[in-house]
Amino acid sequence: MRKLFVFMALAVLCLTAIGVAGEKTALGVAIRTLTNPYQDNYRVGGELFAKVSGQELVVLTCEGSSEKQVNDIKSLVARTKGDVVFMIDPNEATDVLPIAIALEEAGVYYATWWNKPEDINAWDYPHWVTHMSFDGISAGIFTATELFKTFPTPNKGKFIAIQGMLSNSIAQDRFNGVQQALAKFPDVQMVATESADWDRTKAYDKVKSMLVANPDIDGVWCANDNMGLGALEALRERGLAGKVKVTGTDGTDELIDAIVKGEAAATVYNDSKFQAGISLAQTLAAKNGKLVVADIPKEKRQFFCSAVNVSQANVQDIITNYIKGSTVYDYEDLFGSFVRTME
Amino acid sequence: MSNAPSANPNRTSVVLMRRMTKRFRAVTALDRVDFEINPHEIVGLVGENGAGKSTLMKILVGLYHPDAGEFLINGKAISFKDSNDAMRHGIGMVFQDGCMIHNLSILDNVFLGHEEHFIKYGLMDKKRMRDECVKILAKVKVELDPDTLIRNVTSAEKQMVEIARLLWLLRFYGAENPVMILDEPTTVLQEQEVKTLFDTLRELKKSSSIILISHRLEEVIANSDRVVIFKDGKYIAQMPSANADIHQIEELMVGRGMLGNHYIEDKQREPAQRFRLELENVYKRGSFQPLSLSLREGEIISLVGLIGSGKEELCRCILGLAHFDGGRVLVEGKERNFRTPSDAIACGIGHVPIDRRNEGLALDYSVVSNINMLILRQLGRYGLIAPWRERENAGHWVDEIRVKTPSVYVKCGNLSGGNQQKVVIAKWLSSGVKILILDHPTRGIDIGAKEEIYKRIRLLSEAGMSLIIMCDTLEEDIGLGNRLVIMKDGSVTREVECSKEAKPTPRDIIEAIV
Amino acid sequence: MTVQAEEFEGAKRTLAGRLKETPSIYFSIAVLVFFVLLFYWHEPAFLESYNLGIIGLSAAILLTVGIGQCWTIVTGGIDLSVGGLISLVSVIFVLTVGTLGLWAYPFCLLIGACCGYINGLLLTRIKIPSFIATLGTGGIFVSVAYLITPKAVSVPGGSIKLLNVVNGSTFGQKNAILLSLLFFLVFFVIQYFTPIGRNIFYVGSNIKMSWLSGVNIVSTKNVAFTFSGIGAAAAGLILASRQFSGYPTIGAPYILSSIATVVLGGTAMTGGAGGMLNTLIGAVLMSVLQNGMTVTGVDVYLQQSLLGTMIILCVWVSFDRNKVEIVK
Repeated sequence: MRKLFVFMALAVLCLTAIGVAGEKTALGVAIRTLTNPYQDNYRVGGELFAKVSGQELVVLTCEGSSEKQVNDIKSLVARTKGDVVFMIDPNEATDVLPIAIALEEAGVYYATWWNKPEDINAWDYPHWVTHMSFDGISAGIFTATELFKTFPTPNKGKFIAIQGMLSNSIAQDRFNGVQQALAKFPDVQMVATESADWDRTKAYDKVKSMLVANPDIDGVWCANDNMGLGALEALRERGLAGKVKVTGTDGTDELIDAIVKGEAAATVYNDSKFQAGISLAQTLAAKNGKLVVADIPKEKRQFFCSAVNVSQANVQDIITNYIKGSTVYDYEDLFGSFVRTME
Repeated sequence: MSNAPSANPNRTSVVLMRRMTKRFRAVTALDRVDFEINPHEIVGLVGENGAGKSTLMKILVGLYHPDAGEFLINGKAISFKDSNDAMRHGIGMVFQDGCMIHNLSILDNVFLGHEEHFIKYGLMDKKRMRDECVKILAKVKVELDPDTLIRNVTSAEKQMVEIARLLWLLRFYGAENPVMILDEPTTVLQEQEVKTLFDTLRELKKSSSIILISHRLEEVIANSDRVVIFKDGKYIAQMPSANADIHQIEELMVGRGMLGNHYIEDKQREPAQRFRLELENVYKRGSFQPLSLSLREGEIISLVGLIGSGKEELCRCILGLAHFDGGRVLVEGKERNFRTPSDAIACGIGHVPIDRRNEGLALDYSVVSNINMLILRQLGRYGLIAPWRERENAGHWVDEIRVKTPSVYVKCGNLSGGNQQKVVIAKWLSSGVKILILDHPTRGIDIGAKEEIYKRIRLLSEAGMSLIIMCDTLEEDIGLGNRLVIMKDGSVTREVECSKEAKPTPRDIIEAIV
Repeated sequence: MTVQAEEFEGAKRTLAGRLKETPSIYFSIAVLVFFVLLFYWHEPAFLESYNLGIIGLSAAILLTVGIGQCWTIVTGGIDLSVGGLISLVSVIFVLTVGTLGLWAYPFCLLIGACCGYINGLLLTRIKIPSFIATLGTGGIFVSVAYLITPKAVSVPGGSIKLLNVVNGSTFGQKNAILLSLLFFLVFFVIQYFTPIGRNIFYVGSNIKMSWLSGVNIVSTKNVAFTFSGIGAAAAGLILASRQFSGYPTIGAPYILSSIATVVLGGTAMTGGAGGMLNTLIGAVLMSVLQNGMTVTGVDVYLQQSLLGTMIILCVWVSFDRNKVEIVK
């Protein structure tokens, strides 16, 4: 019996940590976890926007459980009695459908990021404001172009390319960008390409063996930072680090460091602070009637947007403004980052 | 018999307890008990279960704290924090089987937790440990290699090792006259081993005191200097063992006479002619040679023999726990072959095991669950069990066997030993077995409850049940059985008829056993 | 012969004594009621029907996987393959519902039963401890799911109507909840009213005694694991239907949450005690805790640690430690 009382006392104590819901509209940010810097920056971006708009931010993490994500979203709707908007990075692309069904039923505005099933489109759902993804093609063009500039003879030479998982559309897009860049520079030659499945160790192994056949390359293009760092490791063993540069995409701290050191040429920083902020801005505008969803042109309901390009030229600037400090984002221009529509 | 013990002014008692009282909530387990231990003596402590013996011993070794009373050691008042504290003051207890680590050697076990006293240059001095260990073992007359694993020694040797270790420890802490408590030391021992044990104890007495707790009164009287009798948490009497009378002690313990017709011999009946179980030339290599045995309807066979005589293995084979290597088994005239216990049960053979708490009952479950365990399939229709039929059946057997329980839904773990044993018997009876093997059915049960078990055995035999029993004492075997089957070294050496008019005496058959 | 309580050694008439005798399920219920009231007091929306629906749905999945897990734990084992099995079933279901139609439901349950039976055989025939055996098979189930499809697959648009078996409503109640209660009822009846159900408990409580009493240990354990597979498959079906999709890691969170559900209800990890009703309470308690923390707005950083603390506290209160001296 004593145990029961002690228990209740402890439980009450624990739950005094509970925040009391205010009169404001809740800004829901539904993501996977807070344990990696990219995902945690969603929270930071949400906080920035909450400060600007004067609303309350609620972060929901699903820790890898699709069902928990849907349940948490619904629970937040229940708590706020529908006075909420959502920015969602779905646990799995396919989770978009149950989330959409739940939020349409509740009449809550939401925006999603990255992946969704192809046959499910935002314009079929009246409360689904936008679905956005960073543009892989322009990332490919940018990183490849920057890489070509670092060749001993700029824009003339040979390089190898490490692609992501071939079945991923984002991997295909980024490589597509490389090919577009290649078309512009006839003196640059891609001597070999392979896939390393986004994996650092695989990239290391692949590059190591590719260097045997092509010891005289001038650059290594990689579809993401992880693989870029793996490639860099392989180059370092050959004493080529710094002479032959690598590229990445994502903008991890480690690769940005490599750019500072002159070992990498470029990356594209996927700014999750921007992602959270812009989506919340769009959905809140829709909720407040400033943005009429039905009037948004179809091509802007789901689109690819531009990320932050990082190269030798602006790397210090990026570190001070985006990574360490906080950029002031423009939440008024809701579609300013639009690059191309998503079919 | 004298009154309460008084401290002899000429010598100091090693332990002196006065008006010790211990209460557990509403129950007074010890009620103003006086108890004294002198140097160089063996004190026998007897009483029924619940008389307060073990509570007193637990106070003595520091596991319980008394609510009231004086506790003097060597004349000084003391209060123990825990059992280690008690050890430092020279009092320790030999546990039946508990304190040994089976996959370590004797040496490791003896010095377990005290290895640091053998450290030389930061390492254990194995040679010194060995020498010391051999010396210690010699004191208790054990001639084993200290490197033998405990798992490979007999229970008797294990106990000796425990005693040796305890003695070493107590001396190690500087006790001049250590006090050792032995709780039921002989239950796991053979007769020969019992003799060795007491010889050793008499030897040890020269330099220490021993408290002996046992249900076997003959043993206590024969091997102690003084017998102390407890009943219901109170000190009743004490007497020098030399002029103690077993019947008088029993009377004091139980509070009533227990003379004559102890095993209800007058109810013993002649078995019917029909054979229930016939074994023809069955054998099991390494356990017993070909033997034949037949069991009639309503007959009680006492299977007698030392451990290792093959009687346990024979029973295991009959029950399907092990397999005969050859021979024929006929149950009610039909040949059978048992692969598992369920085959044996299907043929109507049941088993009341020696270790009822672990092998006979699901202690966490109710009386009703335990009684119906074997016949669940018969208690309903379409594969579903009808709860009311369960209750009915259990209620019937609880009444029939006189299980004392407030309701059939009480957990078996909360019943007393005697009532648990009755539940085990009820479980088998309700399944309609015709042959029952009772493995030490009265072990650890107090005298009153034993009597009821004897009565039950007689009633079963009257109802036509065939029984094979193995008892704690030879007297019990003789008293209960229609026939004694004596086994030695894997073969049947003698069969002795035991009609109620002409019971043999233990002396008559002992030489056939050893 | 029944006697008065005074004559009976085990009867304890004090309140503390009675509480000691009280089955752990009452403690679990007390804890559940306490939390419901606490959350309601904090946020009245907690008990609105919309929110109760959310709790019901997540409890439905925990319940179906929990009732299977429960029996393996009662027999003294554990089934770590439920997560892999849920994933495998979700993938197979999504890919077959187009061709098999409604038959995909029983087909997937059959797959679950077979996978569970394999677990049982590994334990009883090859004698690999269930902890290791199911850890291994769980990994195998996940890889098979990966081999079938490495990424998430959605139910084909034309078959979404078929999912109404789970997603629809009957008599105003959500089918997913009704289905899980149906499974619960079946398991409940088996546990309390059939010999095999009883045997599962006897084996868990005292395996040697059960063997000596003629209980078939091998088939009892096989049955427990087979039903664990069925429970996991049912959970996989509900999950895939609710999410309209399946993928190879969808079930991963349910390995631990199924065990937590069983233990929260008061079933002992040591086996032999607990059962279906406990698991029902455990499933509801677990989803009340998860949902309640979001509804009352507990900070996301605190939620995981708070849930962990709650589980420890609940087990502390409800677990019957008198039964075991040493907790493994």
